[in-house]
Amino acid sequence: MDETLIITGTPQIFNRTTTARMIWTVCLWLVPSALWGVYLYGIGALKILLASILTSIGIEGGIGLLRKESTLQDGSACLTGLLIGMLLPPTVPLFIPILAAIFAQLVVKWSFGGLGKNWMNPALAGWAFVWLSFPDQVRTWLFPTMVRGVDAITSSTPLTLLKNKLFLEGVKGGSPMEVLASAGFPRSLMDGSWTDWLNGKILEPLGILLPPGYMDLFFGFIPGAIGETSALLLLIGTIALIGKGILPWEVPLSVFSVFGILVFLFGGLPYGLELGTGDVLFHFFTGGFLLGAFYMATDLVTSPLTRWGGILYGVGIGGITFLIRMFGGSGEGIGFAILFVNVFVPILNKFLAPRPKGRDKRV
Amino acid sequence: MNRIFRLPKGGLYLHSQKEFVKNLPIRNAVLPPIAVVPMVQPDGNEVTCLVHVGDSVQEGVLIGKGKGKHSLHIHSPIPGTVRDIRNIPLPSGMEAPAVFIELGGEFDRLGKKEVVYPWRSLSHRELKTLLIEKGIVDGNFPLDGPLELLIINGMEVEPYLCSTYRILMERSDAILEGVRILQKLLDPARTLVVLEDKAEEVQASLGASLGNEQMEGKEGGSGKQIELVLLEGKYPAGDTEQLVNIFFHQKVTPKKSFGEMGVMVVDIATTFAVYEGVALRKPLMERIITVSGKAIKRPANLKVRIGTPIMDIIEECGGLTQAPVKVVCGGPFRGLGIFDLRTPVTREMSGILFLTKAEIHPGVRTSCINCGKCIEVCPEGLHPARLFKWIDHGFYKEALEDSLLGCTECGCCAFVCPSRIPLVQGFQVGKIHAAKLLNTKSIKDQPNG
Repeated sequence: MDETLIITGTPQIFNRTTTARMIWTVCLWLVPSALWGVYLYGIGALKILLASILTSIGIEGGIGLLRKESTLQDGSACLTGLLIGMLLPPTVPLFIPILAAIFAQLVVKWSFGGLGKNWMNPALAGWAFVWLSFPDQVRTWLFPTMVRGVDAITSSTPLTLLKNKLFLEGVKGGSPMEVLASAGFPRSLMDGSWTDWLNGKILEPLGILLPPGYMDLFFGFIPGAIGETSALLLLIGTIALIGKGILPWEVPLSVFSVFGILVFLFGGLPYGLELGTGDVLFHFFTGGFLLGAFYMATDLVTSPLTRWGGILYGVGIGGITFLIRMFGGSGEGIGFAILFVNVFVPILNKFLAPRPKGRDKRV
Repeated sequence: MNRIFRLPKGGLYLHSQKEFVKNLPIRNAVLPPIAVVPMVQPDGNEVTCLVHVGDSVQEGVLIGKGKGKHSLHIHSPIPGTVRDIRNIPLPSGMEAPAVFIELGGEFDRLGKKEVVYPWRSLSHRELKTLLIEKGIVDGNFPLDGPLELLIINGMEVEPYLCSTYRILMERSDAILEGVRILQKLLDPARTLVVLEDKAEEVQASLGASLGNEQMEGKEGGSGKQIELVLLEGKYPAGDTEQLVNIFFHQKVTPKKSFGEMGVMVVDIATTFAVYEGVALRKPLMERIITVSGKAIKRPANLKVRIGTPIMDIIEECGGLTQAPVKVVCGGPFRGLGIFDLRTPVTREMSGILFLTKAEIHPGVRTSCINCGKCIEVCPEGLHPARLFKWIDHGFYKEALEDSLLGCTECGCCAFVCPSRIPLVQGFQVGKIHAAKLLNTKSIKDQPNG
């Protein structure tokens, strides 16, 4: 048995977590949200998800063949593909997810040397590429079939509808939900019954009343990208992953607090409301904010190394998302905010590097 | 006593894995039929062998003597006949000559009642001579006081190991005597015994010994104070560097050794050996070790003779349940893997671990994903990922500027690295190159150099 003994340097034991294990776990916890999209929008959504995942894996495998070293097992190709699919609306033609995956893998990730070397989130960059290249196809959304009991119809997301009302028609003097209701944005049947139940059983004794519409946002009966609609499923996955120590908590915490505070204070202003009337809940549950804050902003490769770096990075993302949503042309905002702050990560890493013991200067 | 000191930076809370052996009392291992005693100093220097093949030796007789004034003395752990002197591999990977002694003949100590010699009347010089003669300390151990601070290190934060815990539980009186001997020898202004915050049994046992001592009045009221202090059980809180950093007021500079600064850290095994050497006049020929790991059938805390081959220890512990993938001498963080089960127990060994694959979590090295986990756990506040990249690309000067020499090789960074980057080996290699760089630089700096 002497032949089977391994000799390595110190330490002799390791933590259970490996890179591959971390990435595959994230993939696994994203699957429910992706499947929810398939349930809402039908088999077309599944085709888009598969197209981006298979393209991504194919490119990783091809590069592996060229480099004579396979990197498929680390799961990053699968995660990139899955995220791209989840970011796209369910109506896009199949060449769009394929192009997005090619851009993400070849240009953003492998031209810098593969996993760990890229400075920009590959999935988001792929999404941004097709978002800017094919504006019409990528901005056509589907209304979930089960909400109105009819075939899927094209629609706009709550956020884009709001934007249009605000900028094009100049609607003022109402909260987001009121604007949506007056624009005839449909609600599911579940929304009414769940809101009644929640108000009657829990909230009324506390003196709060939840207006209708939020339950749809929370459960995900709204038009949107394939993987971004269900706040509930995304939250479940996040809680599991943060609990396991796989996702950092600093980045989402600062993204949420900064964005939430800004929306609360100034979110009402564009609608002609006063300070401190912003609808925080609405903005958290729309426009892929949860998907972005929990799964894209926390990408280990493109987020800062140190705790304080992560917090500042989150502040930047929260702040820029707010600016884009309130004053920019796009309703979503968080995707571009993350890509923008990715640029500053090397600087954050440089100036917030750890300080060796016994030295006053940061190195 | 109530205040719990903390590691100022980084560190790890580990699954202690001590439940296998924590409550097993120390038992004497059977004597080895053949003891293999390496003729080497702990620092790797040579030793003059005083015996020849065919000589018969007695238990505890001097068989090797280091070169130089305060060198380490090596004693025969068992009585018998010298059968062979040849090179063997050591846990460090080096080869060294070893004396093979076949068991036989009369025992001087085994089975006889321990005689406790009075030592309080001995002079400083006599104590010093005793410690050197009994092979307990070597030349690197500064034996002259006065010290500012003496730290007795009762921490045992590496997983699996329980030998320090067991000695403190079972022999706290002896440890206290050992501390008193060290106090007399080194004349420290303050003496701290550092214990783990969670180990309440140990605190109680040592506290009781202190109480007994006071009642019996051994120190005659003039004894120096011994302070028990608590430190959180976070790896690497038991490291000498960390202890000095936490408890010594002076700023630690790499230029001076700890001895020169007036602080010394002594571990429990050495304190126990000091007691046995001075009070029992017993040379260092035994070591208390923890034998553990999932691959060994009956984990144990053993008192073994130095030179016992690891093979014999496996037999002593009921054999293996499955083939281990690693056999580690020492703790799982600092210890060294061995490849030959004939390797003997050495004086530095605190445990032998037979680890299975499920306990190690080995992995294939992949590229760094900038997760920053290494930075989070580094107790020295270094940037391990960046240091490794400097060294990997041959930028040794930059690595030095990035505080490479601040690394204590505790292994926290490599333990948490999800990409399984061999960080510690990288730093070891880097230090060798950096030392070359420093040497050439210092030569260049000298005039006419």
